[in-house]
Amino acid sequence: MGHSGLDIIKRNNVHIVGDSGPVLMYAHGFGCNQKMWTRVTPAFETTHRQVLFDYVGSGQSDLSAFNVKRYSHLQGYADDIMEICDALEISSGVTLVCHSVSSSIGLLASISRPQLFQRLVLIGPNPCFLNHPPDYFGGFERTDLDDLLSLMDQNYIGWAHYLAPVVAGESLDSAVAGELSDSFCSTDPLVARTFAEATFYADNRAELPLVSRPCLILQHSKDTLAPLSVGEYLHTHLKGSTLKILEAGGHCAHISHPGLVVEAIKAYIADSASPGHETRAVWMS
Amino acid sequence: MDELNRLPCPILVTDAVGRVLLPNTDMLTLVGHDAAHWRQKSMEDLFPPAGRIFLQTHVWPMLLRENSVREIYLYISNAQGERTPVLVNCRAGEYEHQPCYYWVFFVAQERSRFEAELLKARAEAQRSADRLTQANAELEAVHSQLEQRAYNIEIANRELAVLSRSDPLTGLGNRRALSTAIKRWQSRSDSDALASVLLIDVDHFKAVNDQHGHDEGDRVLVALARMLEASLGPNDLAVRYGGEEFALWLPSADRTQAGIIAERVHDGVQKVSIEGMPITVSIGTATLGNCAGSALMQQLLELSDIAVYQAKAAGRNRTVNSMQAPSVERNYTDQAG
Repeated sequence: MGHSGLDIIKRNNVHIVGDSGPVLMYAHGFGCNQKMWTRVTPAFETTHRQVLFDYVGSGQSDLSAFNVKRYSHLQGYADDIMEICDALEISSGVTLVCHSVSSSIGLLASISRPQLFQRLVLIGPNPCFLNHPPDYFGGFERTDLDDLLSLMDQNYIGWAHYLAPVVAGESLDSAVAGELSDSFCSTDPLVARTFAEATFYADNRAELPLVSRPCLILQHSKDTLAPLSVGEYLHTHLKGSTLKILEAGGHCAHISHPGLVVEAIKAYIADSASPGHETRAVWMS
Repeated sequence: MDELNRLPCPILVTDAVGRVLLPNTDMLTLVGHDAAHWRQKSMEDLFPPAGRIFLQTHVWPMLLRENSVREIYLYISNAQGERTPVLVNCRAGEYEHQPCYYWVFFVAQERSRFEAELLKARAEAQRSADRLTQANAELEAVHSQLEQRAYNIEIANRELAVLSRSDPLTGLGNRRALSTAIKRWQSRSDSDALASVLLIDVDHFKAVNDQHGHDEGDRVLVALARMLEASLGPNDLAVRYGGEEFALWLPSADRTQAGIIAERVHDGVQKVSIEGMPITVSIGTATLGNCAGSALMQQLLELSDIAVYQAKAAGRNRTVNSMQAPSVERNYTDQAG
């Protein structure tokens, strides 16, 4: 793609924690960045080489590398993951820990490059947020997702809209949002909206049967963004998957209940490293 | 916690995972039901689906990391499903010795209206800009149409100009074309340069018309025109000067060269015949220098006209140079007299 490895490292604000052992790579969710993993990484510091990064457009990534076309689809974010591995000269053995929308991104990456990944850990995954009755209930109606975008507008994207010069054609200068609060992980309105639309309007159900790598599905016990039925759906359609339901409400167990997440990951790695492990569902309390 | 009830805004206390511990009086006024109804329910139930996603993807991650959030804009829904825009602040604290979150809501109807107005105004400005862009595009389209028309008119003008300088029957130039050619030569030539004119008159042309009809007369004129064109050099010009009169403009030709061309015309004319009878012409030539200035054309034509008259008077079918006596001229053929 015309990028040197160093460019990619800088572009995606890649950080390595720990210098030996198998690779644990962490992919953050929508509206977040790599800082959200700080309560998980200490547990693997001595055993794993941990790779942290921000997607282009999130966190401290290089905003100038943002390309609306590429990042309008989750595959664009999956390409970020593969390019980072290439830059680090990692070609196999990766355990990819994904939060929320990154689960779909990680699955897409594993379809593109199965040999790169040993296993995936999916925290709060949802391959399709929209309801498709009668077979599938992602949790939301179209109007809910439209409302979400307007809510985002009103919370921060909108200010850039108010301030942006009136122009012929649809474009927003990213500099407009530069001075806005950085309390949200991505304050660039174009980036946030692009990522939001790619995330919430995605439907990756058809890709699930193409996944060949083993997956650990970590589901929250009460998660607005991923109803229990979604976890079941994923477990059914991802061959070789393991479903664990964490006794944790909300959508960010790795922040709110890091101990549970660490424990589950460690158990899964130990288990799948031993021969003869099988697909199953476990209720963790 | 009666203190919370004294504060003039809706307040909610939740546990660490967002379960309702205590709503104050204003909160209950806003969302309905009583405190017992809400206790241990997830605070998410206060919000429509979009708000819940926003809480999960934006508010909770920030809250868990920073222990507080400020000025989050959300909608809260009451028992009737009505939505109230609110600004939310939240900070981690303690309630009955347990970690908890204090949520403070400011009803933001005014801000909401203000923003709606702002958005409307901006949308209107955007529409105006779009209309201007559209109008500009239309203007540009009209402008390019006008340019196309101007171009067409220019082409038509050029065609008209050509037509106005040419004779419709023979396609040769007319007097105006001759005048233009002479002026152009004058402007580009030195004052000692010479030029000649040959005036050619068809002998007994009236008889041709009378005996054979005007169509035949026209045919003869056209044939003659083609023959004249064929006997000219690249810088020379043949024009139809009058009814059966042609003029040849020979720029930079002296008297000798004019004589050579005249002989060539007499030879060529023999190929133009009427019912097997070749026609003949009388030619008068004139040669002058560019020093004659603006009178050059007039003088050349007057002199050659006199010479033609002299050629006719001398028995036709001959050339007279305006500086020579008619008797010097040789007689070419004897067919016509």
